[in-house]
Amino acid sequence: MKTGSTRFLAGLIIAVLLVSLSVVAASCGTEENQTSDQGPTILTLATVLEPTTWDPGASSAGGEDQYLGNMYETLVKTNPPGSAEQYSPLLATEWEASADGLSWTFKLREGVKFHDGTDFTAEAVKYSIDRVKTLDLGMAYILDPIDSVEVVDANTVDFKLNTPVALEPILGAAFAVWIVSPSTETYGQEWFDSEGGHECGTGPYTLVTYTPKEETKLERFADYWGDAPEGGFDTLVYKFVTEPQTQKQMLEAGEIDIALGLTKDVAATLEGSSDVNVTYDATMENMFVYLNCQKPPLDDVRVRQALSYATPYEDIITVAENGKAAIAHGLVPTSIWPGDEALPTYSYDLEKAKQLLAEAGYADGGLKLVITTNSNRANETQAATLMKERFAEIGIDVTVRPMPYEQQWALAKGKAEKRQDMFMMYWWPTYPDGYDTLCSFYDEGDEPYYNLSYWVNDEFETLCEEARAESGMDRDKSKAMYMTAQEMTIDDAICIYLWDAQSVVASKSTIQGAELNPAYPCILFCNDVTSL
Amino acid sequence: MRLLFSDRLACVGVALIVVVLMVGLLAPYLAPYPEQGRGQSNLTERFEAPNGQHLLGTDNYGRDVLSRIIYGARIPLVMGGAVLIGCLGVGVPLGGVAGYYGGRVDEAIMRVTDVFLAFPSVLLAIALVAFIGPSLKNTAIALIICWWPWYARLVRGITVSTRTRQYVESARVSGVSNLTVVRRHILPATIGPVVVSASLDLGAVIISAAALSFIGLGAQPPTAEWGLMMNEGRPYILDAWWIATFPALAMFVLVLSTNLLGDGLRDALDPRSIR
Repeated sequence: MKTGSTRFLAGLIIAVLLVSLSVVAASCGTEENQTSDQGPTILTLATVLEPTTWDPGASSAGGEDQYLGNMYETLVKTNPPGSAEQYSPLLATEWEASADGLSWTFKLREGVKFHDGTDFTAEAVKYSIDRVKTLDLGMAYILDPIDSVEVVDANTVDFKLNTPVALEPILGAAFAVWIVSPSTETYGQEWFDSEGGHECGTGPYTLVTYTPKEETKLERFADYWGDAPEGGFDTLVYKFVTEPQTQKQMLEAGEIDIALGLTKDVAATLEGSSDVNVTYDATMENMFVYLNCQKPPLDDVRVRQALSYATPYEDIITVAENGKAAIAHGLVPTSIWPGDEALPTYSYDLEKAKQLLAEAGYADGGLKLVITTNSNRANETQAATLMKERFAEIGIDVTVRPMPYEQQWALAKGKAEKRQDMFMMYWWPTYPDGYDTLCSFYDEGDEPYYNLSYWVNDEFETLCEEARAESGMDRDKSKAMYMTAQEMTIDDAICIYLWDAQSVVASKSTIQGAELNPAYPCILFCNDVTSL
Repeated sequence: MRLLFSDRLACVGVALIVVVLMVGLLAPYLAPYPEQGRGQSNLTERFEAPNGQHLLGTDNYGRDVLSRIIYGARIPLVMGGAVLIGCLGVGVPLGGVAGYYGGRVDEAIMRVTDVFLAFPSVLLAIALVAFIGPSLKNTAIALIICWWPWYARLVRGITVSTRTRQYVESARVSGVSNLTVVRRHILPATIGPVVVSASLDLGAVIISAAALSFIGLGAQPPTAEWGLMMNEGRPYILDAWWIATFPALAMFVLVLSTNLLGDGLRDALDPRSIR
């Protein structure tokens, strides 16, 4: 016995010594990054997102989009809110719509080459759009208003629409509208994902290697039509690092130049450091909680409103987003049209909540509700925990169920009586137009897709469709209609609107241009990044 | 018993376990901020380093870490006890039946235990909890399902060897009923090894339960549970080290003391270890 425990203690001491030695060794081993005056310049980034496909036509996730945005281009580019022009030319140089808004003519940039040397022409535009419409994968639905693409001449295309929508937000989206070389047709769809990934775009970088869960390497495309900025980078190395704390340490140690996967609270600890810049930007993303409008007691609008009043919005933003988020004004983030800060919001008011519950016949509380959150997002559970705490004060007992997103998703689409009462959802639109979000709340009958509030309102649907048809012609009139429609979703409290999100990027202070464009939430355009 | 108490390390173990039990029982009186121990947030004092007001600092909800650890002391021993009692409740009778009757019954029961033992136990527990839904109760159920076969095997082995002893054989042939044989001869022989085994397992069970909470499958927020607290503090470990470190230390001390107790019991109950 005695010898046993002595040995145990000795082992413990040795283990502690070994651990501390290895920590010291690790902190000594990190040296300044390898940027020499000669040879290629390398930009090293850390990301938490893995690509799900390399096919630009099938893509629907940020994991691949962060690379696609550097390898492919769109016809127009959406600028951040507040820019002088909302859209600027990219592969198209100019465009105009016909008087009825059903035909859009685009002049294309000349002298552009794909990565395999093929010339960029009107055929390539037609091929890319037709391909996505035929595949009908990922975000293909955003192309629904487009009936056909017609080649006028080598550098002109006509888009024929079935509804007079504004086409720029669609063609400047972050998904489904990347222009891909028609030369890839012969390889078939599998080619994109075979042998560690292939691509053939017109963008400033080309794919070199991709090692799943480890590293992705991109290299500058020598024949790129645009300028390579002074101090730009020849090679991009994306390292897959899931832990925000590890990304932070790597940044501090100089192992990476840019950290893309920090959480707000980790980023906050880097603020004030002279070696690191932390940038927060508005995004088009927001967080809301679907309220099950079909299942008692939430089928009563007064109960839903009571929950909306009992939610501590500011406290939630403090804890879950470390204060780096804006109060939401309904479903559409204020950073995109037709979102607006003039729309009403609920504010934390327990008295009003109690009164509404009493009116609904629950003066004594006694309600039990289940909220599901994505277990991979700690801040969702934090927000739900605070809601649970405050809801308890008005007599509502909430069970917080963190689960994998897929499970949450399946539960919401399963048998009606087993569905959760509340479903926390991190939302981003496919393209920068609020219609994309609003139309997700149309009645979808027994098989809902994104309408997981199971809300039914015909008036809302008619109004949104009318507003959309007007959006390509009279923006103001369209916006006024959208405002009424958005107010319906707020008055009916079909969701609890938690916050409009901000993005965070931390970079070495010697790096410039590491800022995200809200229209492309997952893409850091590395051709804009330079070193001092 | 005397042997056990002559072992100083075992005494330390017992004392610490009693302390943890008392702390858990008296949590509402001992915790400086009982309502925060139960989970109420206090957003004006987030991330405070250990100081006079908050001896072990505050967490990301501004809750007093000391109060949370005190409330958290209620869970591990209850959890460990419940899981072990459950394992004994299932494993001892099944193992006893298998060993006493032998033959096909034995085969059937032992093959079932083989199936369970074929899986790494924590992995099986994770799968079970993921299936039946995360909660403390379900964690206990999953751990019982994973752990009982060890006791069934242990008890079966002892029963088989005891049953063939001559004094048991002679009791049987002289007409003593099965029940009496089991009660008078078999059970007493199994108690020692089972108790030692259970006390040695206690620490492992506590750690497994906390591990399940750590990965989000056990206790749910805002419950104060040490494994969950470690996970909640993990993102802040470099900047607010106290949130995860103190629950971890508490866990370390508790598991160390259960191991000391287990070692002591083994030495005390194993006749061969008397020197």
